[in-house]
Amino acid sequence: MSAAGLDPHAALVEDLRGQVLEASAAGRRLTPVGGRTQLGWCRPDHDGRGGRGSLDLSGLRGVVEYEPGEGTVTAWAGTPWSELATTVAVGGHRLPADLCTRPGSTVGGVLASGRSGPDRFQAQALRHHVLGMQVLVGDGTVARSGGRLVKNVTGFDLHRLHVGARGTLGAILEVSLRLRPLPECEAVVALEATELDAALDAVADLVRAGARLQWGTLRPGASGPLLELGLDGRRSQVEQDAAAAAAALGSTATIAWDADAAVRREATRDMGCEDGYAWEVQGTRAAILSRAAGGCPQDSWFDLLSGRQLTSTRPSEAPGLRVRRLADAPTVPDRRGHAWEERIRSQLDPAGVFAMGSQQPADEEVSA
Amino acid sequence: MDRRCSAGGGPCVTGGWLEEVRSLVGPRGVVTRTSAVAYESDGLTMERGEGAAVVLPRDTAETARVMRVLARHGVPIVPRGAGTGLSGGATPVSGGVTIGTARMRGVLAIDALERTAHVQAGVVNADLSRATAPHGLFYAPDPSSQAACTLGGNVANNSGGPHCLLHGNTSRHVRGLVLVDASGEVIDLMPTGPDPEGLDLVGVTVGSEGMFGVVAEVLLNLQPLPETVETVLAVFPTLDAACDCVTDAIAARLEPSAIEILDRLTIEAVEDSVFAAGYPREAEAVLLVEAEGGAAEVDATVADLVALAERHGCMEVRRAQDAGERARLWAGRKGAFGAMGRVAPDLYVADVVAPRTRLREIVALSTEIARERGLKLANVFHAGDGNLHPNISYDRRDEDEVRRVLEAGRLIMEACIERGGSLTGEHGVGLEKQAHMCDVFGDDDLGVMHRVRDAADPERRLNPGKTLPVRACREARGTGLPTDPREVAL
Repeated sequence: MSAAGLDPHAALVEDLRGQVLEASAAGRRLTPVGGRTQLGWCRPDHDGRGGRGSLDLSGLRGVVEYEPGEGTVTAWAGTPWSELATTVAVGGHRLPADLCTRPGSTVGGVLASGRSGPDRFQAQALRHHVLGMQVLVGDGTVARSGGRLVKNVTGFDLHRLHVGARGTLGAILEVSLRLRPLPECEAVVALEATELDAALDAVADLVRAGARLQWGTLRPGASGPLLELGLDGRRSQVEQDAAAAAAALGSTATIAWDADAAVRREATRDMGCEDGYAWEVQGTRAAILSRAAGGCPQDSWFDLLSGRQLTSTRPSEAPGLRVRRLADAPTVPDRRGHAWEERIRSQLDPAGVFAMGSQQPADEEVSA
Repeated sequence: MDRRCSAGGGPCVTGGWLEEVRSLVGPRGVVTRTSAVAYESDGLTMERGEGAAVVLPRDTAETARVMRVLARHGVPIVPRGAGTGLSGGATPVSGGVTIGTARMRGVLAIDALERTAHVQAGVVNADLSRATAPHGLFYAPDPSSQAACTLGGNVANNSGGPHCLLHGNTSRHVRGLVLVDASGEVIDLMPTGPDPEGLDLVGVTVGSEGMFGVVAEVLLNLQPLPETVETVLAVFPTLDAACDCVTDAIAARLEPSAIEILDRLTIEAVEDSVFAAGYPREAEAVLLVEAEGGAAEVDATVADLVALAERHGCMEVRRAQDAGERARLWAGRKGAFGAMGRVAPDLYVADVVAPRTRLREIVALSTEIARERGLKLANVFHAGDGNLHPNISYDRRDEDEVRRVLEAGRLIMEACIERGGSLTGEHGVGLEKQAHMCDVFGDDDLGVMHRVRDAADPERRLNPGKTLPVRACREARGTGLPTDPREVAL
């Protein structure tokens, strides 16, 4: 189909559509790729049938609309996450999730991966802040859902299906996000937890008491497990809350402020990049706190308040916990809702253009 | 054979499948003739319908058993909470069964560490916060109908409320669901961790207006009861000034939990009613603002808001001195729709969203559209998130007035969409805005929505004829019949 006369983004979308239609006709599979930083188990060029190609969205980049007075941003999916963060910071905003990304990670890739950062405890998962989307599904249809404003319940929120679908339901083309204000002040309360049980009990008590925490992680420190709690907001409030949280953790807890706090936050956040580990454990807050109380090995990282652990050693199964090998596709046939999910896939992608291929070996270098 | 009663005006409860259903839910689980009148409409009283029966199961398993019987007989199903919805989403369909959740009112578990509540779908919104208060927690979305509306209904509509400015609509608070699909299968979508295991089926179900299944149980996020709540009433000499103040507050990235505007007509109606809150009658508009959190952050936010209000010519600022005064101020706001009953027998409550940078313009335009048609329009709305509720009082016995009300409603909607707004902010599409979906979405967008609906309910028996236009938009726009067979099937 001719793309002459279209603006560059529309021409690119038309080209992507053509690739999907071609793949559909030829019975080939495609994996949408952005910055190629987080494909994991769904790597292009390997589907066990030798026919998987990539659908490159990295050219589809740029901010469509950033209106600081609305507190929202709309961007093409290939826009680097970090570039978007810089754009909205100029207007006093931050993106709705603070998560580990690699250089070049794109907005579409981040959303497709379904990741959230430790700050989801307070801010909620990233998927809750997607206001609308334009996607390309397996039969070549380009469709929108949602909108660009912070409040909108028009039609089905189909964008929710694409967040975390890892490109297996279609390619994300354009995204609208709700933004959060950049905080006036940031603090990190840290404790080298020699008595891990007591420290984690104190964290649970803080949560039950309604403490205004943004996030809480546990990672290996220089001389034992390092427990860190993040706070941000109005300076006068953060000063009080950080002091209270430090007091709850004990006399050896320290508080880092602003730039120092940001360094600590980024350090623990970036340990949450999945590609440093082989396994993920998710579960209730209670179950993850209980798991963490058993110790924090050198190869583990805990997002305590969200209920998530990353580790390189095969973790033991336990009630309330879900263990997954990161290299595995997250879809398992006996999962609840699986039949419904399969019907959605066959409706949106009858030829299986974006369908998953076979699993990759766990130790294979991923190159998303 | 199934049949409908020929006289009596209400649904008839005879027929093979109805007897089978009655044996499952007991005699009190099937609503008969006279009392079924209450089920003829939801809050959109202009749209009425009469189904074959109303069935009230007591739990998930019973719901599933009932729906399996209905599946065998191919009976359409309309899920219904308290019927407070304002878009006709729960209007009965001819020959169909309304599945009500009035007997599913159990709060099954509250977990203070997880900050969640597991509830049956028929729990009333306000009852949940009462149940969780002893745990130091509350449920944030607070539709004006919260004293009656159910959490299952809130899920279906992705309901909002004043405090969704800070906390977000229902969707942000739903952690898990148990859904009964059209075939009667129970789909357990309760979480096993913070991320969905596969596709986010919970997320896509919220706001699907009962077209994917009957929501039977919900796992909801709770918030800690705030240490401090400050409620402020700012009095403005003009509605424009109040709107501009809100636009500037959002641009300044202030984060109060609610910013509501009430205009003069609303104030008068409220002050003349049992909901009288002490709003100043001389005001052209008031802002009802609330901030919550720690004392220090609340003080800082309120100070910034008051300074902004003063820059916009605010005549007076009143701070609620205690919980009683705060409750009174909110009772006036939440009772505003009821208070309008004093102005005229019927009320049309519109629900559109304006870009927050264009509040003044769109509010003024709405008022003008109503004025040109000789209608009384009162504004009471969630200004902080741009969610306008122009209320038009009318008398349904006056056919011409009804015509003018509908015309004004349509023009306000179109004006809002033309200026980058949304078709609905929290009331949903239902019957009311179904045709207007074509103003927002194209055939391809709606086609994909239909396909996702078909994945959930291939026979299209769940809430048929609602939300999605039944014909392709190009047909509705009169530009010719579609040639793609898939579009014909829409």
